[in-house]
Order: sequence, then structure tokens, then C-alpha cells
Amino acid sequence: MNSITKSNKRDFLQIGLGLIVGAVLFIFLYVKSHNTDPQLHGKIVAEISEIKHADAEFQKALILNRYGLVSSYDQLVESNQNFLKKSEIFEQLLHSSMQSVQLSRNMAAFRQLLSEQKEFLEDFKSHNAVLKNSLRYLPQSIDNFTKTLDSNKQRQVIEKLHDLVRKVLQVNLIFDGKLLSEIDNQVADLQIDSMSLKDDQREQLALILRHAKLIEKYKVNVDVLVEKTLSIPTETALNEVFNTYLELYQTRENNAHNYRTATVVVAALLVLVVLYYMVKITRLSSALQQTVYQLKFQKFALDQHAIVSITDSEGNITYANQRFCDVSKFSYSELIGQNHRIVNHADMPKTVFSDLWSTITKGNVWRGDIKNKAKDGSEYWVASTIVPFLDENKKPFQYVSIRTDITKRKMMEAEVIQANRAKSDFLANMSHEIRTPMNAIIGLSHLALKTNLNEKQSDYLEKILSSASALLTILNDILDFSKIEAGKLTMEHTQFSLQDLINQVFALNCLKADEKGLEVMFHQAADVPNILVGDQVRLGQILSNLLSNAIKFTEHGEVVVSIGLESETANQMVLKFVVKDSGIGLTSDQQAKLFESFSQADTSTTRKYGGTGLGLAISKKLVEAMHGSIGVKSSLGLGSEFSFTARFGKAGSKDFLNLPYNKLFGKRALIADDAESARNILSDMLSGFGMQVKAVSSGEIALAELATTGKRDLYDFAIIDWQMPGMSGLKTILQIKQADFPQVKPHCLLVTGYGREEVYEEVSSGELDDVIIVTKPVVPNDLLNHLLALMGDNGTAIASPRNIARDVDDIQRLLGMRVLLVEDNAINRQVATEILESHGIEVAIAENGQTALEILAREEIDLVLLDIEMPVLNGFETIKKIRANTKWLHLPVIAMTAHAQESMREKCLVAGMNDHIAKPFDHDILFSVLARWAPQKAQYWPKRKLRKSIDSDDDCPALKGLDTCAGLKSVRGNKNLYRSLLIQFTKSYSDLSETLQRALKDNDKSLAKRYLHTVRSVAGAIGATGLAEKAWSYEQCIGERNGETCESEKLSFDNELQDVLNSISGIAEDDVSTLTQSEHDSSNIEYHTLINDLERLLKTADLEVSERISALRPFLTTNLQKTSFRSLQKAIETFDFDEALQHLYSITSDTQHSGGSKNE
Amino acid sequence: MSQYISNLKYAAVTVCCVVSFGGQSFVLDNTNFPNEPISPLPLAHHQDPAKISVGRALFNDVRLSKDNTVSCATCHRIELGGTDHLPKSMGVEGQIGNLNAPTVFNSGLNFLQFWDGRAESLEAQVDGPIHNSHEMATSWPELLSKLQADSALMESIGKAYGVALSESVVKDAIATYERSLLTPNSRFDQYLRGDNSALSDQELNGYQLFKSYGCVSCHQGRGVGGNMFEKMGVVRDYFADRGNITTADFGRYNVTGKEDHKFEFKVPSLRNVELTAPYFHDGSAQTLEQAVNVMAYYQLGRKIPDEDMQAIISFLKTLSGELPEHAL
Repeated sequence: MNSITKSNKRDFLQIGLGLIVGAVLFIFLYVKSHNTDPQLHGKIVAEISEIKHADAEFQKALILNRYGLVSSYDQLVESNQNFLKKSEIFEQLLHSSMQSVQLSRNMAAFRQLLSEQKEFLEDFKSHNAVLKNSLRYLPQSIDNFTKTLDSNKQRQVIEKLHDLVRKVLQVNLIFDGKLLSEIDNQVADLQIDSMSLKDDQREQLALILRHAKLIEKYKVNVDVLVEKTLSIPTETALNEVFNTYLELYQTRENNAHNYRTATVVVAALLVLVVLYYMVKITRLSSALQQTVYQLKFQKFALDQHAIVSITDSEGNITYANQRFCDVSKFSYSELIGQNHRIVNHADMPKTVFSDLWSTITKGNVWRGDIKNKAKDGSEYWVASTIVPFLDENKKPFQYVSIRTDITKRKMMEAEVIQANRAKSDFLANMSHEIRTPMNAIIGLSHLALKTNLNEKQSDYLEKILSSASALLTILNDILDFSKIEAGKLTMEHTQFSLQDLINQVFALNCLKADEKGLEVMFHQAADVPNILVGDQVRLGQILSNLLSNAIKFTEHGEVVVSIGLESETANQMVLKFVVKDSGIGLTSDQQAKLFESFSQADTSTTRKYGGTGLGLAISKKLVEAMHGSIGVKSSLGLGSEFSFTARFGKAGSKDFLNLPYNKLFGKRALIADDAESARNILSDMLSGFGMQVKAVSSGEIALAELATTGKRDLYDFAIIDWQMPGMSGLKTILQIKQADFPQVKPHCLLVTGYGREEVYEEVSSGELDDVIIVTKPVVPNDLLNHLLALMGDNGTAIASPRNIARDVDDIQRLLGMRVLLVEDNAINRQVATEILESHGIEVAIAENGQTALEILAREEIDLVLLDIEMPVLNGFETIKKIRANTKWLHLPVIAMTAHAQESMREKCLVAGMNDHIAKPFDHDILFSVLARWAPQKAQYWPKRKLRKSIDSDDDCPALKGLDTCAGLKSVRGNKNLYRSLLIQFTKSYSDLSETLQRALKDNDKSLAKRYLHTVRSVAGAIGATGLAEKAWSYEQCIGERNGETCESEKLSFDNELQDVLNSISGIAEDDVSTLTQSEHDSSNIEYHTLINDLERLLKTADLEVSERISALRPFLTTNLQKTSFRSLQKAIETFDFDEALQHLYSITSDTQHSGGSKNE
Repeated sequence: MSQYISNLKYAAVTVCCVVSFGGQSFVLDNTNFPNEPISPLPLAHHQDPAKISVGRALFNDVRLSKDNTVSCATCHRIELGGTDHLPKSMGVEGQIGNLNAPTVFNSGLNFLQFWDGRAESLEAQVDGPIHNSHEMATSWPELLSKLQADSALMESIGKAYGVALSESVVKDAIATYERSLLTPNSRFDQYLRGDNSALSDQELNGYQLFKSYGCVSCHQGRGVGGNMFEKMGVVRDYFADRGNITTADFGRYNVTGKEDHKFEFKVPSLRNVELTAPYFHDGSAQTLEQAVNVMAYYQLGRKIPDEDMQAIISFLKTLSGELPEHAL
């Protein structure tokens, strides 16, 4: 097709060139053929006649004058002038017609003759005048003269004179030479005769003779002149000129004729060529017509099926077929010239069109589904294919759009989507419906576990709790899976810290590994950046799944998690995550089915290990959503290696770990670890910091290495594993410290896979207090910080991202915080309230957004937990109102929903909430979220001080085993909090003695030590300093010696604990109120007045009560009171004043027995 | 083909010319006496008024002379019969010329210009006085540059000619003006046109004598002269009698160089002769009587009696025509 066009183009070019050359030739010949000017030629010929005519006129005038037929020269002069003028004109014409030497020469000759003729003419005129006068005067004068003579005497003279007259007149008529000589003789004779005459007569005669002589002379002259004038060959000369001209003209005319002939030939040739091409074109066009016909037929066929339109490069419609008109409901004329946007539907995202245009303007074909709008506003869907037509410059000059009406399909799709949505809504709803009771089950189980229970009850509850947790996991898995199946999985693209994520994943899983005694190791290649852009939660989910699987299926050995950089582009990278275990492994059959939905290695596995079998299927989907792939390598009994890749965006700034590296660059480190993988991981990590590393497999070799190094190769750091065969880590470090090395001793780091506390004990007992303990898995940030700290560079150390708050420290940070819980569900409210209060967090309660706003306006609130689905004012409306008030712009608000979907979380954040937690709460997550958003301590505590003014030693009640002053101080004087801490202590540790006994009996020293360690810190916090000391001694004792020898420590600890518990229960019975009594006293009168007023108003069914009722709120202390208050409000709202009165009474009665009702 | 057409054309033109041959003839405006030697002056001059106007201005413009003292009108004074009444005129710096200034009236009818006929036309004549060191003594470049400065003149030239000032424009304007200076409708012309009462008996007698003595042999035609050369002193030797012969006296000889043409001069027109004294190329005749006498003696070889003389003079006086209004 293209080559045909090209050859055609070449053909046309040739034809065009040929025609142009032909035309130029034609024009040239045409001009040449018009070289003669027939008009001018005609003029010249006419002028010749004119000249000849003028010549004739002149000659006529000359003859007339000569013979005296006219008496004036005017005619003669004029005719001569006319003749000359005509000649001049003729010459000019000739000159303008052509130039030729011959012609000029002839013309010059002619001119010469003319001027000669003129001179003759002038002479003729002068002489003729004289002749005329003399001829006239001579007879007269002779007559007069003879009269004066004597006719006798002078007869002879008289006769001679008469004879003279006769002869002169005769000569005048006929020229005769003989006569002339006779006249001469006669004159001479008369002159002789005159001698005899008298003077005057002689003079007269002389004059007569003079005239005669003049006549004689001029007569000849005049005749000769006339003859000469007439005989001058002016006509011959003129003819010569004319003939020369004619010859030249003829030649030229012949040439022109030849050119004319050539012109005709060229013209004929041109016509032939044109005809030839016309025939050719006609043939071509008939072929074209056939093609056009074919195309038309194809177009007809196309039009029957498709909606077709053509637009120019600007998108203006130049063609639209009938179907287009039909479907768009525009008429053809309405469409033509309009931009194609006329049918665009506002619903279509702009990106579709920008993509469309960027595709087709580049000359590519675009395909896609578009929703269009018809003239009447109705919408229709089309599947479009837009094809750009390109010109020679590969630039599109028009676009052809072929579309199929897919409205029906789209409607069906919409229905399907609708059905799917209904399905997922159902799932979401179900999840909500399931979660709400689950929340109650889990929450209440937690709470119930904290009460006094016998062993059986405790066991049942724990099983309920674990079953519920398992159920929740399954629920989450199913939800996730259904979401993925529905294609509703959306990946976030936010910046996050890989390190933080790893920490979180490890924190959630390592406890189990600890329990199993597994070593979990982490290795991150040095070139993996810490800050990534992607979906943190989903990555965590995958890692968590793989890690928990690995831990789950590994009985002993190690689990290694490693991260490496697979590939990298300017703004993206692919990371490879590997989780390797030394577990049970998989058969190849199992591997094949592993990532399929609802399948585990086998059903027996399910029975043994639990789980839905969805985890890996979900992980696979998630990995795919991250543009990666997941796979497994495994051999049965030896372990498995799961690996996956995932694509991440790069963060704007480079890895923030890079900076402090400089300090460590070139430093030397010695690693001693028996596990090769651990050695490799540490080596790589340290090398990544730019350090020189040597790794050895035991403490002995390490010592030997240190002993043999020269001064130059000093080791700055020794990183020793705690548990090694042969020489243990501690022993090695001790040896290093005690050894007598020639050089400065290296800083020592002890790496441990076990709980920190146990190691601490050993370290402190071994006087190795300057040894840094690093827990496995070792994360680069932690290690870096430790190394930098040892280098004396604490200030620039990188703050390690905090683990999820599950430490006592974290929770203690939240002590005394005031949280507003906004929740409509009573059970949820109770669960949340008690969880929070049990951790020393003050809780204000609101049933809906409206109440929440009122409370916020009235009270100082540090944080809000906001339910979303509530009556009166829901969570979204509430947050809108909260954020509308500038005072609460930065108030942390955390949404609580039973919707676990990501979309809900996003919706909450968009609405202005700071975070989101899903119900039922995971305790850890709840406190982690609270810790994250809790206001800074520095601003936090003084505020409390202002609110609660009691802070003097006088207010510390003396209690056995408790330094209440110290305890109150630790909670910054918050007595309520202190009280709840004390109660919580009772709940947690009332059976501690038995627990310890049990643990020691099982020979689980570490568990016992952990309990003691924990109780020590808690005891310190509540002011039970004695108990703390006793716990410390007991803990030390257990660590150092065998159980039996610690009897005295056990006894003193048990006694002290009992004292403390008794003291607390004493408070619970009668003294807690004393702690808060002063507060109540101050407002007692006010309170009673209010109650009386309310009672009166309710009895009289006065509506004012609804306004006064809120004034009661500050006086509510117990939960029962608060519950009753809400019922009271509800009753008032429904105008059931009798019931309201009952609720009021229940509030007042609870106030009266508040001490008793508390402790149940 | 084309040649054939041009041949046809040639034939057609030839036929036309042949036809027009028969139609052409001279028209003489002598109602009274068709074959009279003298014919009346044309009544209209047919010149472009705008050009006449430019010509008149230039005719009177002293910038045409070297020292801005002499114009054409200095010697050809319109109010004085087109001449200066001096035997020989005075040019720049008071220099005296060689010849008597002829009248400018009817000069357009002269067959040639100057006494010796050296100029074919009035246009050619202009060159003479411009360059003559005794007359205007200037040159075209000098003259034109002076005129160029006159914006009013330039404007009127522009209007009349549509072209810029040039030598040929100046010549054409002056010549056009001069051609317009006809003096028609003299009493004698009235007589010729049929008014028999226009002349008295004596004047008629004078005319008859003018013819019979042979004056009319040279002084004939519309201009009563001005259409031929004649030798001064045909019968008797004028210059021998007068003496003191100068080059200027050689007349036509100075143009042709032929001995025969020595002492030949253009026969002057006798129109307005009463107003154009003194007479002859040397301005030697102060009165008409003197002039007629000299002519009779030297040219005719006759003595005219006093009675005839008076009649002839009275005839000559009937040749004074009307001066056109635009002349001044």
C-alpha cells in the first residue's frame, strides 16, 4: 500500500515536472512566435502610403507654384513640411519596429535626399519670386523706356528692345540654348547702344538689361531647380528603405512562423500527454471507484454494527454514521462540526480522556469503555477503538472512532457489581454483627480473667479467649479473602519505615518463638533503604503470616528473616524477603498446593496447628498486588524457605541511616557466634556501616584473635553471642575484660536471643555492667545506636522506633490520662471503660456525639475514642463539629469501628480523625494507639495538678506496707488513679504467692523470676517500697541459688505482699471514699439541692428538668450512677417522668452506698 | 496563419490609404478671392491654456538669463507689437545684439525661425537666445536649477505637464505660448473673408499696387511673408551701398555655407508691420516709407511714386490684427 502510494507519488511528480517543462517551452515558443508586430507593420505600410501621398502633394504644389497657378508658397511649404514630418514619423516607426544596419543606411540616404530637396526648394522659392517680378516688370519698363525714345532716331534701339522682350518671354516659355545666347548678344548690343543715350536713359536701359539678365539667369535656375527637385529619387530611396524593411520583416515573420509551428507541435504534444494521463487517471479512478465502492460496502457493514465517527485532529466531528446519530439522539447536522466532547459524560474521570488523548496524539490506537451522554441526557456505554490517521510526518490528522454500544453489558455488569457490593456489604455487615459480640466475649473474658477465679474457671475463660481470638483471626482472614476475591483490595502508597514494620512484626511473633526457644534472626542487606513507599499494613501482614507460620511449624532451630534488594530503578525498587526456618518442611505435593485457597499442607496439619489455611493464599494475592511473586523451597523435615518479592516506591530523601555511618567507618569489629547464619547477618550489617569485620565461631577463637592482633589492628568492638558451646558469651567477655592485652580493650556487646531481663541479671551479677546487651533479632538501627553510644556519640544516636506498647512503661505513661469514650453500645462501653480504667486511664463517657461535644466543652479531655455508628450525632458528624472548633483542632480523636475494612480507616482519617482501631479491641493495639496519640507528658501532668488540687503529705493515709505519699507522687497526686492502681494491683497479684509456688514447683525459675521482676516495678510504682525490696531479694535468690534455699525470702515476700493486699482491700472497704471525700464535701450542698430540685421537677412533670438534668453529670462517680443517669435522660426524653424518678432514686441511693457497691 | 492575417491587414490598410488619397486637399480660407496670394490668419490657436500659462510665465522670467536681467519679453515686448523697437536689442550686461529682434507675433507660422532660418521650430529657437552671450548668456543646468527653487512654478508645471521640470518642458511651454500669439481678424483678413467694406479705396488700391509692384512675390501667404528666403539686394547691391558688412549680414550662408546663399534672409512677415519698426535684419529702416523705398530700390529695381507709396503704406497698416487677451 505504502509503496504503491510512493510510486504513484513519484509518477505524479514526473508528470508534473513534464507538464511544467512543456508549459515553459510552450510559453517560450509562443513569445517567440509573436516577435513580429503586425499592428506596427500595418502602421509602417500605411505610413509609406502617406509619405508617398505627401510627396505627390508636394510635387503638385511645386508645379503649381512654378507655373504661377497659385500665388502663395504656403501650400508648397506646408506640403513639404508635411512630407518631411511623415518621413520622420516613418523613421520613428521603423526604428521602433526593428534595428538593422542596412535599414539605417537606407534611411540615412533617404534623409539626405530630403534635405537636398529642401535646399533646392528654398532656392526655387527665392529665385522664382525674382523671376516672376522681372518677367512682369521687363515688358512694362521697356514699354515705358521706349516711350521716352525718339521713334525715328532710336528706332533700332527700340526694335532691339522689343526683340529682347520677345526673346526673354520666349525663353521663359521654352528653354532654348540658342535663344539664350541671342539674348546675351542682344544685351551686349544694347549696352553698346546705351553709350549714345542720355545719362538717365542709359541708366534706365541698364536696369532693363539687368532685369533681362536676371530673367535669363533665374529662368534657367528655376527650371533646373524644379527639375532637380522633382527628379530627386526620394521615392526610390523610400522604396529601398521599405523593401529592406519588408525583407527584414519577412525574415522575422518566417522565424515567427517556425516558432508558431513549433508552438502548435508542443501544444499538441502537451495535449497528448494530458490526454494520456487523463485516460490513465480515468482508469485509476475507476479502480479507485471500485475500491471506494468496496470501502463503502465495508463501511455500510461497519455502520450496521458499529457507531462510527471521524474527527479532525482537534476532535471536531467531520463524520458520524447513522448509528451514532441514533444512539446519541443528535441529528447528523447537529453533530458535524461539533467537538466530540458533546457526548462526553461528566461521570467519566478526566484521566481517561487525558490518557486517550496522549495515546492517540502519539499515533497509537486507543481502546476502552466510555460512558457517553445522549442529547436527551440519557447515558449509554460504548466500547471504543480510536484509530489515528497519520500524515507523512507521522502526525495524526484525523481520528476514526469505532464504537460498540455496550450499554446493556454495562448494565449487566453494574448489576453484577451491585450484587457483589451487596455481597461484600453483607460480609462487612456480618463482620460488624459478629465483631460486636466478639468484642464483648474477648473484652469480658479479659476482664473476667482479672477477677478472682478458681483454676477451672480461669482455664475455661482462657480457652474462651483463645478460641475467640482464633475466631477473630479466621474472621479477618475470611474478610480479607472475600475482599481480594471481590477485587476490592486497594494498596496504599504511603511512606513508611521498614525498620518500624519489622519491629512490629517481630514484636507480635517473637513471644511465641521465645516460648518455643527458637532463635529468630533478622538480616537486612546494607543496600536496602529504610524508608519505602507502599502499603505498610499489607507488607506487615505477609511478613507476619510467613513468620508466624515459620515459628508455628518449627520445633527447634532458627528462623531467619532476610531482606535484600532485588533490583532498582530511578524511583522504584524491588525487595526480596526471605523467611527461612528449620521446621517440618513440605513435600513437593504440598508445595504445589500451598498457595491455593483453603488448603494447608494437609488436613491433619490443620488439626495440629490450627488456622484457616487462607493465610498463604491471601499473602500470595497481596504479593501480586505489590507486583511481586511468592514462592517456596522446602525439603521435608529440613525446613522451608518462603520468599517473595514486592515493588516499592522510593522515598524522597535517602535512607536516614546513612548519616551516622561516618563515625563507624573503618572501625574494626570482632564477632563471635556459633551459628553461621548469625555470624553472616552480623558481619553484613556491620560491613554495611563501613566497618571491618572478623567473625569467629567461638569465644576461645575470639580471645585468641584479640590476643594475637597487633597494635595496628585494634578491635573497637567485640560482639559476642550469649549462648555458645564451650565458652559462653559472658565468660568470653569476662575473659576479655580480665585479659592482659597489649592494646586498649574493645567495647563488648552481648547478643542474646532470650529475654533481656535474664541476661541483665547475669550481667549485673557478673560485674559486667558496662556490657551492652543486644537482643535477637538484631535490627540494624538498634545495633547502630548501641555502637554509636559506645563511641560516645549518644547525642546523634538514632532513636529506635518504639515497639508496640506492651511494656509496663508504656502503659504507665498513660496513667492519669483523661479519655472521652463515645460509644452507644452499653457492653462495648463497659468493656472499653473497664479496660481503660484498669490501666489507670480516666474515662468520661458519652453515648453519642452530641453528649460528647457537651462534655468536651465542659471538661478537659486528652483524647477521644469515637464510635462511628451512633444515634443522634454519628461519629463523622461529631468529628466535623470537633474540628470546626479551633480549640479542638489538635485534640487526638481515634475512631472505633467494627468495620475492619481499609476503606473505613481511610474514611475516618479523611474525616479528620487521627487514627482508627477496629472493634473488638486488641488490647495491645489499643494501648499502642493510645500511646502514640497521648499528649506529651510534660504538658500532660501539670494540667492534672491544676484540676486536682490535693498534693500534700497530710492527705496520704497511713497504710501498712504502702507509702501512699510516694505512691500518690508517682501518679502526680491523682487519688482516683492511685486508687484504681491499687485495685488493679490487688486484681493482678492477689494470687501471686500461689503462682510463684506453682512455677517453682514446675522448676520454671525464669517464669518465677519474671513475675518477681514485674511485681517489683509495679510495687515501686504504687509506693509498696517494702514489697519491691522483698521481691528483689527473692528474685535474686532464685536466680542465684536453688529454690529450697530461698525460703526466708519467700516468706518475707509473701508476708509483705499480704500486708499490702490487706491494706488495699481496707481502702476498698472504707477508705477509698476518704481519699476522695474532701472533693465531695465541697459540693455536697450543691448536690443535694440539685437532687431535690430534680425530684420536684420530675414530680410536677416540669419540662425544665431536661435542661437541669445535665448539671447532675459532674456528681456521678460510679458506673452504676452513670448508667442510671443515662436511663434517666432517656426517660425524660420520652416524657416518662415516673420512670425517670426511679432512675434518679437509684443514683442517689448509689451515692449513699458508693463504697459498698464499688468493690463488686 | 498569422502571416496571412497580417497580409490581409496590409491589404486593408492599403485600400484605406488609396481611398483617402482622393479626399485630401488644401483648404484656403479666401472667401473673397480664392486665388489671392494672401490668406487670412486662423481665428483660433488650439493651444493648451495651462501650458500657455506656464509658457507666459517663463517668457517673462528673467531667471532665463545669466544675471536675472533679461527675459524673452525684454526684447519681444508683447505690448509693443512683440518687439522692442530697437534696431538691435540689448542683452545681459547691456550688450548689444547683432540683429534686429523680429516680432514674436505669428512667429509660429514662420517656416523657419531666426533671420537665417537656422531653427526648424520655435522649440529649437529657444536655445538661441539662452546661450547667446549677447542675449541671455546662460545654460540649461544653471537655468533649470534656478527655476527648480520656484515651488509655485513647479506646481503649475506639474499640473500642466504631469512631469517634472526639464529643458524640453521649458522649450515646449515657451513655444506653446508663442504659437498662441496669433493676431487674427485684421481689417485685411476681414476683407479677405468677404467684408468688402473693411478696406478703403486707397487701401484696396494699395493692395493692388502691393501686388503689381511685385512685393507680393515674397510677402505672400498667411503671414504675408515668413515662408521663404530671399537675397537682400537682388537688383541692386544693398550691402555695397550700406557698407560695414558683418558676419550677421551673411544670413543663410552662415547656415548652409554656400556662396549662393550669402545675404539671403528669411522674408519677414508683414503682419502688424506698422507696429514693428525699425525694419530689416539690421534695423536700418526707421519708417515704413523708408523700408518700402529700400525694398523697391534694391529688390525690385524700381522707383515707387509718392502717391503709390502712400497707398501701399495705408494697405500695410490694414495688416494689424487683434492681440489675444491671454498674451499679456
